[in-house]
Amino acid sequence: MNRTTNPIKIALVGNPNIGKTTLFNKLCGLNQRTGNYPGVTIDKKIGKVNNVSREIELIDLPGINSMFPNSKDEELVVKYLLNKKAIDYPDKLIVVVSAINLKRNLYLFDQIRDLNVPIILAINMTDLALKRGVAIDIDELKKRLQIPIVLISAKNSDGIDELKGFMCADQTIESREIHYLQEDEISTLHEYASFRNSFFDQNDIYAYFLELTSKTELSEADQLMKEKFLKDNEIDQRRLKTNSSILRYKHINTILSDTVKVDKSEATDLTTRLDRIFLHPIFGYIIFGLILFGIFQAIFWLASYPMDLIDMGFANLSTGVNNLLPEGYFTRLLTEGLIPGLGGVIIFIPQIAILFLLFSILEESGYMSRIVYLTDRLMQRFGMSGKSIIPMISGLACAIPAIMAARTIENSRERLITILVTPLLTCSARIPVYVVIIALIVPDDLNVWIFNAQGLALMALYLLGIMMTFIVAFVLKMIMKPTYKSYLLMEMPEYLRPDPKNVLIRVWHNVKAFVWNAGKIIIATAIILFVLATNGGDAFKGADETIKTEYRDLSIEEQDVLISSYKIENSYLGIMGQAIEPVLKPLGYDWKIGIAIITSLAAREVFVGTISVIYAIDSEEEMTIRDRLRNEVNPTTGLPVFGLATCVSLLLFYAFSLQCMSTVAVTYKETKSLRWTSIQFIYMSLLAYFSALIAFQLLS
Amino acid sequence: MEIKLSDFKKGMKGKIIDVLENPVSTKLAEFGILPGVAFSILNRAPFKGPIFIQIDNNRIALRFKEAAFIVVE
Repeated sequence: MNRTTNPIKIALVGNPNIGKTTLFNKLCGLNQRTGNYPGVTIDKKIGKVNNVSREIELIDLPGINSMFPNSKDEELVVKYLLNKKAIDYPDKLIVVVSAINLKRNLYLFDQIRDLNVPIILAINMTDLALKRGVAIDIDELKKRLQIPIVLISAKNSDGIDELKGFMCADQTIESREIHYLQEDEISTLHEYASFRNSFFDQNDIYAYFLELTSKTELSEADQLMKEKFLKDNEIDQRRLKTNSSILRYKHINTILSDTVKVDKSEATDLTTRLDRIFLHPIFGYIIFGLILFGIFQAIFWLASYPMDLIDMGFANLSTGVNNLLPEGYFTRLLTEGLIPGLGGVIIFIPQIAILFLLFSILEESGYMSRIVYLTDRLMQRFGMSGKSIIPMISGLACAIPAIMAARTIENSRERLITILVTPLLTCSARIPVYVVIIALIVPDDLNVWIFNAQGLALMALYLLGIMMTFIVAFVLKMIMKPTYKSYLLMEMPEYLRPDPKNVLIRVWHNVKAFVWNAGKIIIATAIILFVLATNGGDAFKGADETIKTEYRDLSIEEQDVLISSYKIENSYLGIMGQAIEPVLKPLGYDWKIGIAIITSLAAREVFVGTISVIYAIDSEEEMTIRDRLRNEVNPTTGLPVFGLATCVSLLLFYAFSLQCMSTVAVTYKETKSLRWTSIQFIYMSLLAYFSALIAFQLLS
Repeated sequence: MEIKLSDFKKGMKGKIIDVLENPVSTKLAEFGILPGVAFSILNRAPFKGPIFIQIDNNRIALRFKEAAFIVVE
């Protein structure tokens, strides 16, 4: 094989929270996410290693605790590692372990070792371990394990060059004696291997062992064979697995007793001391509450300054372009379609950036796992696990990564409930809708005590979303039958100072992904909307004559205003909006809002863009979205269109409806069930419609 | 009567004697919760919430229900 054209494929494997992603960033210099709670690495990521003598493709796999998969995430990784015949199968593995947690990390290493794939063992966090008095005799360890071992510190780049050297070197591996099974178990597995006679090598006892003990995906015939064998030989799968774990730990203990010395004089370290405060039965929860409250206030008032600037900037840009370019259809498309639409996306970059910044810090520092611990008891009452809190908090930013993050939840019922309720949480796409509407009913400069009233209103909406999430989860818990026993077993990471580079890379990634994904949809809808709003049937084309003959007495200016509103009413867009008006009228919406609701079916944030496009076409002057909406008056009643009742009704509608096609798609992908995907969409739509209906009818 | 890990209070230290057969016994073994291992209770969440233990240098949180399968002294 030609080295220059065929890169070596190397995969990074290891337990969660051991700095695997930081190492990946260090090796590839590629912008990637990293975090301090299980499940940040959702899909495998691929990068090219920098500054090495040959081309290396590095694959970062999600962290796993065992080769006996328990969660969706682990299932995927184990399947990938077992499928040796796949074309993308790695040539080599780097197993990353933490020096402070060697015993348990080596357990996973020991399991992976039996795959007989060339392995490099990278012992990370050696700087921290040194401070803890952990001394590793690396030469002895190399002799015992018979593989390349390197001590590294991914954060400080220690040992990275040595690791790169090992990565480039050619490497083979011999199979070793089976120490994880007893004699009689080994012969049973040989029997199974010849009985099954599958595509695994007959001598690959480990592959057969995993197939026999785990819930792997098998064809129906294979599954029947496996079950027959288990029954005929009276095999207790759980006992077989537990015994193998005990034997592996025995093996590791003998190695570690000869190679690692721990000076236990440092009994209370920083993490233990911090946990006394953060996990305190009273203060722990108060701190958690304060952190959440801080996030909401930061999102609102901290972000409001750049947002006001952006809002004004886009209004000015429209005016500027309008004055600069000659009058015409293209200019109008720019100033009334594209620019306001684009502004609708850009305006909430500050909020998303702040949100992801704070989340990344929480994750990187290790606090996120403490939240899991603090909330597990409460979440269980609602049919979820403490681990559901991670998807739920991410759901406050965006439901899509949140639903994917639910993969770390081991129990399928807890996972399904989490997926079904997560989109009820206030995601960042709702923020622009909320911000625009709140601004219409709560004055800017109003303060309640020291807090900004608009911030409090936003917080109330967040709380409403959280409340509804729990109510629906509780209902689902009552309806759905428990599957198998749920459990929570997790490692609590050390508290670490968040690495600014990791945090910023993550913020940048999320903001970029948001702008790109939302931007595409919003700009496309803005253009379609504009075209639909500026074209129409005969009534639209004859607008000038109709108005001029019917309102002959009015001045030319007054006639112009009437013509433009007559035009939009009779445009294709107006006809569509009026068609659905009867359904939306009880909620207090006119046909223009109806159009915004239709267009934002694809993505909620389109609402603001649509509203600004529709009203921009309708009015002559350039002004900010907010002022434009404030000035909008219902022609029949003379009252503002965006009165209190309509605004509250809209807020509730957007709080509960699943107006995000990407979420629908990801729910389908993750549940592989059309039934649950439809249930989610339907229950949320009904919830939205009826709560908006009740609110409007009570308030108007 | 056997004493379970779930009976221990915050700050107490002990040794695991046995892990009773249960649906998650494999998982417990994989986390190093095995007979003969010394542990200390770092924290307990209120209302029979999770229990936070230290084994060697390893900090592990587990639910009350799971801790009830672990016989300790």
